[in-house]
Amino acid sequence: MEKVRRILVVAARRACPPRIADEVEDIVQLALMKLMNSSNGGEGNRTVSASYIWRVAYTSVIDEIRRRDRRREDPLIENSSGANPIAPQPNPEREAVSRHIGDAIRDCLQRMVDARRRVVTLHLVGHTVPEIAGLLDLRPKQADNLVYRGLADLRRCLSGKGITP
Amino acid sequence: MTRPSPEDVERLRRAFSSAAESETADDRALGTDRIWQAVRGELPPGEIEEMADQASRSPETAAAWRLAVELSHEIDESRDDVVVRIGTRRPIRWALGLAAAAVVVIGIGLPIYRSLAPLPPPTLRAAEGFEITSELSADHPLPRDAFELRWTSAGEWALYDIVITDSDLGVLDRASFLEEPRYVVPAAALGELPPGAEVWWKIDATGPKGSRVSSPTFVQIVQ
Repeated sequence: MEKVRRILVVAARRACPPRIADEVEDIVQLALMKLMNSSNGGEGNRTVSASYIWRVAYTSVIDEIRRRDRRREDPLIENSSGANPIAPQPNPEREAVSRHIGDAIRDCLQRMVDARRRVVTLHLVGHTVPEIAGLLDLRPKQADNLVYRGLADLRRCLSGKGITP
Repeated sequence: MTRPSPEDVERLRRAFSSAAESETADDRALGTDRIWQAVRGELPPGEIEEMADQASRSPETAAAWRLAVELSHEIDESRDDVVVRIGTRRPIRWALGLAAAAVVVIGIGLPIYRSLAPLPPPTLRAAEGFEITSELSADHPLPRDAFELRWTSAGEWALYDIVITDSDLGVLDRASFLEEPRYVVPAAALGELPPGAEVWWKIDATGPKGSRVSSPTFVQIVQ
């Protein structure tokens, strides 16, 4: 499980939003505890494959992030949960700017033609061009062109909104 | 028209998966199971297109998808998946097909085969370039209070499941999540067997990408 934990922490550090950056270790630890409980809860020595471990570990981390986000949005729950009052606080101004840009990106994506919107979305969630080609059954060159032109559309649209990425 | 720099793309990615200023009806997040399947190439392109459309509107989905991609890359880069080298497309189906075939062959074919021919030598080329081999000699009985089974490593990151049966395929013991290619069968699990009895054992090695390969059934004698 230590190997699973290490990989989860590295991935979560890269992908988690800044507002929970300081909580990554804690989130992963809780997720792994849930994973262990779920895998021990069946009938005795149930065989569990590694693919199952990764899927459940990933799902547990996301659940924990969403749970913390809900707590953050509800001050009553936050105050009663024993949250650490000296933990580093997120930068509200930076988060507001990031949210504003995020909303603008989503708006621009909706204005794109379908094929470009899909590949750019997949690129923005972290997929490489070869991966996108594989996922959508495109030729690599075709996927590359769509990403290239889609990102150009996105930059133009954002510039029109006064945003320079 | 120039390509955006990796730094530009990274800034866009961060902003894209940040929370929305106002939620809309379209912000319903996709199930994480489906996102994971999509990222691992287990869903058809048409379904992934629909999910990408949803992610283009939902920051929560985008954030969950981003973590799945990062985790998937991290798993792949750990080069742990030496159990079975697989193609870039639909890897899980390929591996599951292999595992299913192994189950059918071992579960149904083995008893018939055993009645017709001697057991194969304790080695199997289970996938191209990889073998699971017993590190024990079948000719040397093991003491029941130190019944340690050992096999060749399938790589640093592999996990192993082991099933141990008697010669009538009655399960004596099993274990999962083994990180080392060895397992000591508790003496209590062998308690009913007379000296000289055969113990059969089989390994399923799994890489984090989900690919699996099964060993043949090895035989060990109880002292």
